[in-house]
Amino acid sequence: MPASYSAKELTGRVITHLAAKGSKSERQAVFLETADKSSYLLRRRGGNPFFDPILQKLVGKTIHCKGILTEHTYIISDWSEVKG
Amino acid sequence: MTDKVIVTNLTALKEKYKGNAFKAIQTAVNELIAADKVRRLTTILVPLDDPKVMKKLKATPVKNPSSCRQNKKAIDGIYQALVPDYMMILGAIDVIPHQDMKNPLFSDDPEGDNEKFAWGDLPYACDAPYSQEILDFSGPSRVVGRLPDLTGQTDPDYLVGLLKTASTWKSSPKSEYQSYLGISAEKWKESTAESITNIFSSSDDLQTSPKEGYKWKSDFINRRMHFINCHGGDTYPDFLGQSSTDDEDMPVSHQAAFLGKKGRVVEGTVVAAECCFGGQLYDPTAADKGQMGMCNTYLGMKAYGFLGSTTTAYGPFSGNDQADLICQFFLRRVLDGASLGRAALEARQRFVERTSPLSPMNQKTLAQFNLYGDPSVVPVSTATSTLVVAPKVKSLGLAAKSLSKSKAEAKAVEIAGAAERADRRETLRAKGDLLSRLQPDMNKTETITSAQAKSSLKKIMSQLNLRPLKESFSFNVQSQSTAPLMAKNPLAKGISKAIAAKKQSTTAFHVMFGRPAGTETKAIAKGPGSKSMTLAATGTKSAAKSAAKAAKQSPIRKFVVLEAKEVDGKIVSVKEAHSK
Repeated sequence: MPASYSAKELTGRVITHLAAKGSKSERQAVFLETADKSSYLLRRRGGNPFFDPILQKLVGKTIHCKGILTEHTYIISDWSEVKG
Repeated sequence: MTDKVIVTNLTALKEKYKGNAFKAIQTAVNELIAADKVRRLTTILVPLDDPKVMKKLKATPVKNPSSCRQNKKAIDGIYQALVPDYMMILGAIDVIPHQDMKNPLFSDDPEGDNEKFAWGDLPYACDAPYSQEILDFSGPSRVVGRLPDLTGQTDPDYLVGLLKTASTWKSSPKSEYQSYLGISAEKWKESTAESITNIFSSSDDLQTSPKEGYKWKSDFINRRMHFINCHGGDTYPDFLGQSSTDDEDMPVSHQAAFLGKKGRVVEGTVVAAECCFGGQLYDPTAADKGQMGMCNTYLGMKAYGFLGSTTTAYGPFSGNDQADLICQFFLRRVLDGASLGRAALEARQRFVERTSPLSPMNQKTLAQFNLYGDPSVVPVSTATSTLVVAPKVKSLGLAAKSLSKSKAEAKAVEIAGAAERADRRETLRAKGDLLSRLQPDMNKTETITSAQAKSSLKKIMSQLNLRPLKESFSFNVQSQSTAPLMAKNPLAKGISKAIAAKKQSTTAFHVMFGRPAGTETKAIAKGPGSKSMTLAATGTKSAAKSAAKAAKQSPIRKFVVLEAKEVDGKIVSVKEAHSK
């Protein structure tokens, strides 16, 4: 895997769908879907990577967030809801 | 003669550790080399970025530290020049990268396996040149391990500590390694119990999460063998359990911060972790509270070795396959008295042997599991029948352990030990070569090629009460005759020919994803954990019936991977891999 991570700010809609199908990590995961239809597996820094009730509450909302992008996950440390 | 080579990239190390920090690491490496000498191992450090040193070895130096191709070529050159019994990679992935093997299960489907690469050190353990195809590395033959520092970090204390552990290790009697800490997600306890029984002959002490964990009492955490079958996450330090009745009940089962406190891990602990990302070497600054990963934490607490995965791992609910197998093979070899490096090599070879021809899931498993720790460490001391011919006749095992100051005895032990090791290495090399040549070539096609296979899989899906998803693909297998690899006398030739005529060959693997019919909503499991099985293509009715019943009882099994094995154009068995 790449040894370093990049800081990233993104805006998108929080959605859920299945991730890592058929693996030991298969789960309904939370994703951030951006306007260009890119999809990022979302995790809250310090949050449970498999089921985080705080992220679950954001599902369906559009948020602007700050975090770091690893090879597989967007780990967010700060976010705000985008209204309208 | 060089017994052990430590390879590192000095340019990359100096980038991380400036001035005195770098000197502290140099001193610790020199101490390890001196300690190895006392153990009768001749160890040298080879900086694979140093053109002068590499020229002497007729090897190509690394110019770009992050280049997988260059690092593979450099290590191959060093190996060819020195043919060491042990090769230790010094540093994390920002010093010498994991190799970028393509994940055969990769899918663009956001619900599938989105990992392009199954990162790992497997290619460094193989003679095949740089490649991104896992099947090119199906014949591992070298004893390799990695002593990692912390990715992205600049404080030398961590790596100096690991080098010190590698300098001062001691073997212990087998009895010290026969009790274990075994942790399983409750949902997978059946499979974990089988693995643990295979290693330790009993699974009575298996702990399941929930309800147990993560504050393990010293009676458990102080045991020297740890086997963990839990969830793990990308850039996440802890492992998680999972309830067998509620999928969303996923408490922390094993916490890196808890382990990282004094007295929690006993020096000499050996770990095999099946968990996804259990062996990922991430930069701790990316994690909450800067917590380093589980693998780094264990090694920092003086564990001798850790076998873990860089990426998402696979395995069944019950029975053993994929990650279960490679982890248990490793611990079994450690218990039998192998060095960590040999245990890892033999585990890889056994895995290929057991699962050949390698299906896509097993290819990924082979690639993603790595040994972290000094490969020359021998945790378990075992009696040996070999007697050393020295002034006093002694058992090789005991003489090697006593580190005698008598020069004559030391020399005799060195010669006898090296001779035994050389014989083992020769056998392992031959076995690796044979395994590699036995492995058929495979070509992936983005859809299931055979109409009959597709129809059969759909039928099985239906029998299992599953609805096939769009995503499916095939691996066409070009099986070859093993006759040319066999003995050449006329009788053996004749037998090989007869076997070849009789043998049915695997012609393809077909992979189909599906979900239980009528379970479209969010997963909330209320039923019992469901089974995983290999189904014979015939006689599946009762199994299918119980699977369908289980699927209805347990809506958590929404998605399943079916991996069908086709022999001579007919599907003969199907492996059903669930989210564990």
